[in-house]
Amino acid sequence: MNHKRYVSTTLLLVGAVLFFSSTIFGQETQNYSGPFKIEKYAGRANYNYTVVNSDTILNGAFKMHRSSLESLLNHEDSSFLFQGTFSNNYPSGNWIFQFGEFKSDKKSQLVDYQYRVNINGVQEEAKGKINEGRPDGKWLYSVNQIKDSEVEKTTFKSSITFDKGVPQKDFSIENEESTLVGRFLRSGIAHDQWSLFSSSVNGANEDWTFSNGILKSIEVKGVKSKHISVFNTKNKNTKTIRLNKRFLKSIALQLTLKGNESVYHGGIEQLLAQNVKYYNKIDGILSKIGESHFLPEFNVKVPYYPLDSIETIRINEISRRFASAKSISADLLTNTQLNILKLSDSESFYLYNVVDTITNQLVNPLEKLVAYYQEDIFEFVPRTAILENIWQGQKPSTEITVANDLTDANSIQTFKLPNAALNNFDDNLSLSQIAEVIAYAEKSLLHVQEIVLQKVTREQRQQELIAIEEQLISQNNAISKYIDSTTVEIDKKYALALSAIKTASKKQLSAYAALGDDTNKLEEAKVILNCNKTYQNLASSIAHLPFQVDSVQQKYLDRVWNPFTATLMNEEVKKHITNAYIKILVPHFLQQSQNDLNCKRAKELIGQIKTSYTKIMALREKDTHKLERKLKKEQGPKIIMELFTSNKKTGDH
Amino acid sequence: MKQLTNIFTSIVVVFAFGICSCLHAQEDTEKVLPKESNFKEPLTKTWINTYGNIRIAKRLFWIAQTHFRFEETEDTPFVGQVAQIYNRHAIGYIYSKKFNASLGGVLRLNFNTDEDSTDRNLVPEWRIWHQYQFAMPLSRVMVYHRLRIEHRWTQGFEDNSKYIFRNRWRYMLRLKIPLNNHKLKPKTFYIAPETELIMQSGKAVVASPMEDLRLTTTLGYILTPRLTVAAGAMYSQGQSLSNGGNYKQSWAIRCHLYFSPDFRRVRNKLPEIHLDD
Repeated sequence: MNHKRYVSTTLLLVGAVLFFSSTIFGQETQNYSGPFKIEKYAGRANYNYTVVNSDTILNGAFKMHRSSLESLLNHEDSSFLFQGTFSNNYPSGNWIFQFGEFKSDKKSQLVDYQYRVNINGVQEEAKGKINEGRPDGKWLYSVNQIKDSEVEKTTFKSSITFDKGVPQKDFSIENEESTLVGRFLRSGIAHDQWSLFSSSVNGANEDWTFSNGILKSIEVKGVKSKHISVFNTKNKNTKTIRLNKRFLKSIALQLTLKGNESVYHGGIEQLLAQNVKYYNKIDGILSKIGESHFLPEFNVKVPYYPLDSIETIRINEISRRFASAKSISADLLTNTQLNILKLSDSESFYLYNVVDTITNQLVNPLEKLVAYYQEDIFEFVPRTAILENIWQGQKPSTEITVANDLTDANSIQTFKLPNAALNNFDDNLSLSQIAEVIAYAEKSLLHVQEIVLQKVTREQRQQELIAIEEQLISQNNAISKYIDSTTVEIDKKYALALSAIKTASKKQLSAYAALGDDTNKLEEAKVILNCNKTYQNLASSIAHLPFQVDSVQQKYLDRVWNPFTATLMNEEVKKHITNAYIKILVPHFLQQSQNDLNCKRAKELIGQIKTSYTKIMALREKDTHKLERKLKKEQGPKIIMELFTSNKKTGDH
Repeated sequence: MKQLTNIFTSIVVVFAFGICSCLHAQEDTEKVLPKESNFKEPLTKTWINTYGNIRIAKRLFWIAQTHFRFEETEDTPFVGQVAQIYNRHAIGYIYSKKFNASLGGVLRLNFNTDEDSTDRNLVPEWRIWHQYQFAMPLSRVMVYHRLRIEHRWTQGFEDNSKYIFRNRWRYMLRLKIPLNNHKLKPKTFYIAPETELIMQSGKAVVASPMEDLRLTTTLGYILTPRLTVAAGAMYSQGQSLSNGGNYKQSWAIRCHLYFSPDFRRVRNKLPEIHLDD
């Protein structure tokens, strides 16, 4: 393990020096003392190590700790201490881990030449022996609440005996609510009676009875006492698994199949999970500095009903088709169009009912089966027990009969996918038969989806067309209104151009009105909609031209001293530029607006009007001597626009 | 502004002093004066004047004027013969929009217009001149007061004629009234009535201090801030130098061209051209 990954920058340097010195002195044990960081724990460390093939191998005592009086007094302090020994990079021997979160009351006391401050908070402590990275012997893990520097109460405590990582003999885990005690066989497999005692008077107590790892029964004691047998021992085929969530789920499944769901309250699971969380913390630290396998391995046995290869293929297929059917069904049932249509259109109503019924009758019942498989507990219960439960003895049918008329509640119709049949179901439902059912359900949903989408699309198009046509008319009115009101107060030459735009827009709408009811109408309407926007923009551009001309004239004025009148006067400057704009470009734009205007041309014009104005306003401050010389000779609007754009000399006055 | 007032006061003092000294000199020549002033028949003249005003720095300009003055002959009124060619130059200083001053020289070529004379046909006349002009806006009208002082060396057409030295004291009041605009700006017609009184002094001036009183009105058109044209008529009268009892009179057609180029490099022009407006 390359130790350098975990040290601070300072350590990198130290490491480099150590590397070179180790090549000289061979495997001599060396000592490090200084800042050190493991995951979120940063503090000071002191340890011995040797360097072998440029890897740091921890050997000998290790101590890392942190506590800060300053931060304790200021706010709060997170302290920790990890202490033990390493042997050949494995933690070995006695170890102690402490984690503290403390606050102080900020009152100090002088006792025997020492200042003392009282602390409040939580102290976690784990101690025991480690052998080659695995817990060995008795391990105690406790979490204590500290008040005024004394243990107020213990909120968690576990005591487990290990033999090289395998739990042995008796163990106990307790928190504030309950205590679990139990024992293991030498192989680490749960055995005999595990008991959960509740600390509260009304709490339920629970006895789990294992026989050689197999959980035979659960005895719930309390207000509602009950004896529940869990796994029987008929099946000699068993599998050893960890006592974890998966095992607890398989118990839940077993209980569900037996109808005893309600008794299980998860007290044992909670304690075990809490214990695992604490052990994980230690494992996280140890495996970052050396090598370790610190997690407790609690093992149990469960009856095992393995899937053969064909069954595996089938159940995979069921999972896949189930997911697909669920997704199609969800899409359809939440489709807003279909949900609106089903209120007014009987066919949509019928299709919606078909989807709903297929989902409820053929798809949803498979939900648990798929979940068991995905949670990896399918093989721990007898196949028939699961399969029998799916349709509760009812046989699924390909014929889906639902209401089909909004006005007549009694009217019904049967849906059946054409050219599809299910094989006869025998009493013993098999995975391949279930696969057939879900395949049928998926195909049926796809079939309905196709019909619905066509219907919805058609309906949407129709609705969209109506909306767009309304928009077209209002757009056209808006253009006419704008142009009519603008032409009243604008110079005649601009008014002529604006009228031409109005004519073009009207002509376009008339052409659209003459179209037949074919499928292109919607696309055509969209095109006109966009085009009208362009015309609207062009009209506004043209209407702004007089203001632009005015502001160009204003921009190209210079205040000049006239000595004969002794006044300042405006002088027109760069007249070749302003003339090119006012006398050539603007008339050109007006001419173009009146000359067979179409959408493309209108777009170009808008661009040209905008660009030429921006350019000419910018040219005022530029060095334009060359440009002016060229403009003197040039009369063509296109070339003038190019000249405006390409005036590369940007030297300001 | 205080400085301005001082300049103005000193000019007025000098001017008044000039007039007094003229009046004092009059006493000795009283006997040759006629009993009544004698007004000669008016002469007819044509003046074609160019006024150049060339900006050379932020506050300095070069005045370059060339005037062509014609006079009637017996056969041709107004433009019969060349009377004077006039070259006036100066450097002007723009103090503010309301005040400017100039100092320079004049070379005038005087042609002998006496058709019967056998003397020299052409004699030069030299002047040093300085001028102080006040401009004041009054509503849409501009009002100008111009004080011009000239130190003048002239000689007669006779051979061996000696230069005589005189001072001229000139005051002109001029209005410029825009006609087709609310203020003077390009493409504006304006009418400019003006009155100038020219007084003179010097040893040779005994009884004729009022050299000329000119009443002029021109119609002008501002083509651009740098180019203006104007034309109009002038009536003038004044005492003859030889006898203060004799008064000359004249009617003149006046045509003016005003130009004010600015040859400074563009980057020197901005933004100082705005002066302090």
